[in-house]
Amino acid sequence: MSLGSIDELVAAAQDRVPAVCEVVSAAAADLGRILADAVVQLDPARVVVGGELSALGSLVLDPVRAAIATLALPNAPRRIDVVPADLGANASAMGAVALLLHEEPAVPRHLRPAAR
Amino acid sequence: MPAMTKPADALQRLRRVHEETVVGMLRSYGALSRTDLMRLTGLSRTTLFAIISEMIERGAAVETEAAVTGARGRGRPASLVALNPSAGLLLGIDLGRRRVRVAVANVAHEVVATAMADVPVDAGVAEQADAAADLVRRLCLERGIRLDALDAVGVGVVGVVDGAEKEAAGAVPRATPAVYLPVTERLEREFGVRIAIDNNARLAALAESTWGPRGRSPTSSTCAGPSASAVGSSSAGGSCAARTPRPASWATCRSTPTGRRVTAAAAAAWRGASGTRACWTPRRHAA
Repeated sequence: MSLGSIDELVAAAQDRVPAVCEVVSAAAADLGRILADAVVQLDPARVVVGGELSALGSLVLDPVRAAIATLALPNAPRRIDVVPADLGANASAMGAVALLLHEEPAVPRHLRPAAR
Repeated sequence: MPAMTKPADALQRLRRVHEETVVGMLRSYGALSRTDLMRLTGLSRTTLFAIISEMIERGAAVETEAAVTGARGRGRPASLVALNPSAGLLLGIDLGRRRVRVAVANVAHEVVATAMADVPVDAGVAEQADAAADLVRRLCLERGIRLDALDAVGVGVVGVVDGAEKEAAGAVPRATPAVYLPVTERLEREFGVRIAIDNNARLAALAESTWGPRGRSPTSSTCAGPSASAVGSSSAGGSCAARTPRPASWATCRSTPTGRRVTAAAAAAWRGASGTRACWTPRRHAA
């Protein structure tokens, strides 16, 4: 089947088109394998998956969870949350704004009190 | 005369703290009446009113009339105080492989507008930057946003914006890797403000910790170490880092002002080792 854009891919996966689901969950399993590496090294409390495809929910998140559970210290008692991002597709653009907000002084210079 | 200046300094410090409290409240809540501000800051009427008049005089704050809702009582409408909305806008640009997204926010952390546009898969960074600049221009025109007060532009890019290169540049903060120089140059020319650049998966993590409810609440108590969130971006729009053959590249932990560590893990597994095409592209899966 032919898909013109990422939106169509997401729509097709939401309709559970078998071929599409297969590709997406295989990719998610790959992502999980990579994230398992990261989890081992960084010991995070939570993994937040963003981007357009995270809207697919369990189709993407379950393979990630499975990979992390089996590959990243399988006997460790702690479970790591794998959750979709809150911000959706604009996250990176908003993050670029956040970068500026965090780099700048909390109160921009021209808003600071004039009195020293 | 340290003995003489000390009390004055202490008072000035106190005043500054009060002013910052007021600014902080206006940033968090937007426009507020003086009564609300008194309640929220706990400042005395005299102190608060003096601070507000000074801010308005300086152009840092503006006075607006409250929108009339329903039947009002007598007297003139209560006026609200807000940070001058034109005091500073921030522009965030996400240059994905197929999609460019922009977000315009003001100093109050309010996202004023967002937009996106598709770019050809084979577009280079310079073309992406062009597309982003066009998109911003179009968005501003459509929504009547004026960029006169633009403070800075943040750019998220696919790929590694390496810390080593930053350090190598020495005193220059946040040096841009050579491959992204066309981007910063183009955007600097367009907007004439400072450009900050970083990996977009990292930025997604930062956004998540800034705006997401998870970011604001303390993370899982089961975690003994420093709590961290990792974002693995699954966007075919190109939020995967690393064109490198190594399947994963995750950004180093960065400290946010809140002291929380945010880790962005960007997995390139999504686009296969060749790094040129996502594994679900229509061409490869055309039936």
